[in-house]
Amino acid sequence: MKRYEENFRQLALEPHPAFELAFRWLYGRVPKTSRRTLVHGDYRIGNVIFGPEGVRSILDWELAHLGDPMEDVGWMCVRAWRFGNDQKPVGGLASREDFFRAYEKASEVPVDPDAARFWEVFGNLRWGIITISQARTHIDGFVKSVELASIGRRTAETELELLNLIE
Amino acid sequence: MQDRPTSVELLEAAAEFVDREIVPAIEGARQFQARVVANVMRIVAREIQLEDPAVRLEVKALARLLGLEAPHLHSLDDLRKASASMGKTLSTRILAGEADSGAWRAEVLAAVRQNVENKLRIANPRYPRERYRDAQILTE
Repeated sequence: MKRYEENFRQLALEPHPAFELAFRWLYGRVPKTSRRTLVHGDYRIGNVIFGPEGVRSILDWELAHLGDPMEDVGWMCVRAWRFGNDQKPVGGLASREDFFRAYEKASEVPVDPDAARFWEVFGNLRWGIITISQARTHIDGFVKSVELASIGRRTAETELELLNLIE
Repeated sequence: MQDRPTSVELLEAAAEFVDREIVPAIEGARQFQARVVANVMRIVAREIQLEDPAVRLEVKALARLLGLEAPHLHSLDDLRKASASMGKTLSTRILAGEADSGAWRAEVLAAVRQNVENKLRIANPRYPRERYRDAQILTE
């Protein structure tokens, strides 16, 4: 979280009071977990390949690390992966309750809903900081791209989601 | 004074062309980029129409929240600078824990939400769909 906060302070060109509120909320709620497992770090439907037989492969392991397994659970619930289907918070496919139950059944690891909530808030904040950093890549001229430039105007979406989650 | 069409009408004409003629004619990543181009033009068109009232409301709300007298500013550039400077002060106070609880927290949350919603009326009025259908109305 400290690393993302440093990135945010370095990269943001405008004040983002919604992100400050989210940081305060998160620092007061860091989950007390003794469990350290392999965390994928970018676990979402867009990184899973399915075939007719089921899951074939999970991609993009470059953010893998040791940590709280609830981090991947929370990241799955981030609004950006719902593609507009807000009725189903987990990737636009399932309710949190159904996903938690399926996760517990498959992994035998209990889901702590408060920790999952913490990581969901952190995930939305993390995605918000990524949108700022992608826009900076264009603004600073490292990669000139209309797509990266336009992502800078998506930061407000994550701000609204954070306000909905922490109020 | 320029002749018609207005800047907004020009941007809308250009975005329409990209959507109708370019997007169906190309595929894959370039088609996606073309959609982004049309979207960017529409953001600019909405910003031309809505930025002035939005930033005036923002400056007024931030001044009220910070207990400052509302500055009498006219140029858009001065308003943007005032908004950035008061936004920074607000951020510092949140960071210091002043909005962690109590009556001021509720005021901060309401003001920040209003500013974020007004940013979305320009950047993405369909987000979330049910609430931002009317991009013309700014709430005070």
